[in-house]
Amino acid sequence: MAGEFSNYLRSLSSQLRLEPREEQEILREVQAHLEDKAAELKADGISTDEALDLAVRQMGTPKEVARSMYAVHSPGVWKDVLLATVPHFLLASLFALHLWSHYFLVGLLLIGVTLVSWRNWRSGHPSKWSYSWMGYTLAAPAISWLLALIALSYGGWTLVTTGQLPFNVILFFLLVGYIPFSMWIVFSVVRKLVRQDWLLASLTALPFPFLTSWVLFLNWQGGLWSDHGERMQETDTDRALIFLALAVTTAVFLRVGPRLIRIGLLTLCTVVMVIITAASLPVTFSLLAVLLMMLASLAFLLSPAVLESQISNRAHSPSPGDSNGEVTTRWSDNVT
Amino acid sequence: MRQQELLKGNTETLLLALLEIEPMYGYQMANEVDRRSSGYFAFREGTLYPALHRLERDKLVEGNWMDTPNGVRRRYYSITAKGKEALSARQVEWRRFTQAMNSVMLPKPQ
Repeated sequence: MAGEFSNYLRSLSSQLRLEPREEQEILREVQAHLEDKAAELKADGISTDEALDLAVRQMGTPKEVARSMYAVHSPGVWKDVLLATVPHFLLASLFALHLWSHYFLVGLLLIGVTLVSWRNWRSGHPSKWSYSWMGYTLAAPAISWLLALIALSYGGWTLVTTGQLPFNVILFFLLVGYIPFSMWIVFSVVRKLVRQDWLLASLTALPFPFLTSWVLFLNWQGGLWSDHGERMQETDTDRALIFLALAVTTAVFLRVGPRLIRIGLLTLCTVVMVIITAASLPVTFSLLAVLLMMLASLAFLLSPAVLESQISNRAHSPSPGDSNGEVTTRWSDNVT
Repeated sequence: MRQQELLKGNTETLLLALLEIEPMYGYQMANEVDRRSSGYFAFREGTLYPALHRLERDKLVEGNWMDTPNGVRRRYYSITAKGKEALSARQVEWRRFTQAMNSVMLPKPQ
């Protein structure tokens, strides 16, 4: 296939940000159209180079085509919306019913969510509803990674200053092993998400800022296993509201097509979450502190965009038409 | 430019009308619109496929890959029963619209 078409299809492929099967169908169709067009132009007496150039120009820029295709293909159906909001509603119920300090129940819930996500992702073609489930699945290794890091830093500091570890040596080495392991789990999933669309990684990570601040707060208030339940019941409704906001954001995100609206939604939800979090915790935050929390949360949620630009595989992925006319995409390279 | 504006809200109706005649693939549809309108409606080809995929998403058309006799694989679209209903409704609306437009813009001499 002519280099002109290869470049066009490669550029289109990198901007579509859709599921691999959908991308392949679109690229095949556009490729067939370009070839038909060029053949017709050549039959009319136009030189090969000119025909290829004209065919590509009449199709429109890859950016325009990708944007329109994204708006058509990225929204989910109502079933996706319903399923995607389930984990948010479950978490909202835990807080509304003051059950969040029953860690056995929370553990069961997390195991259930993890099993559902794992079954869906095992196929290599995750459904549109599965990203919110994956978010809560990743929350456990991500937050435990942070807690392990804090415990290890504390242990290391105590060892340096007093010459003794504040906990068992076996636990110390377990923590040393767990930190890279949990980081690898989180990073490998995030990397896979970002290779398709960084916005999906952001949607997945949407509850992270609240969950992290919540767990760190409990840890700071006498450890996770202290009896916080009764003391903080009054503001449980606020926390339930956070998960309702997450459910609404996820639902709207899945139903709208334009990327800018999706980015705006995630930004708005993050700002609302920080405000409710600051209001619900029994600590007084200054305006500056709230603003800094907002900035940190937004930077975290938009960080997959930076990661996307740095994943070099995309730039070096094979041309959509290089292998015997077969269109290949980033994701299919990744899963097969 | 003005043709493009007029075409903007009616691309999908034109595609449905073409597919009511026979199943076609994208490139064939672009050519057919061009031929039937004597070049008046020149499709911007990049807008053709999003429109077709939108129709397919809404179950108004159905796309299937088929091998042509010369060995080229093409995606043929055919109109569904729901698409035919939608087309009839749009044709009725279009007739009323053009009649109203004509009676205002091109009044018959008294």
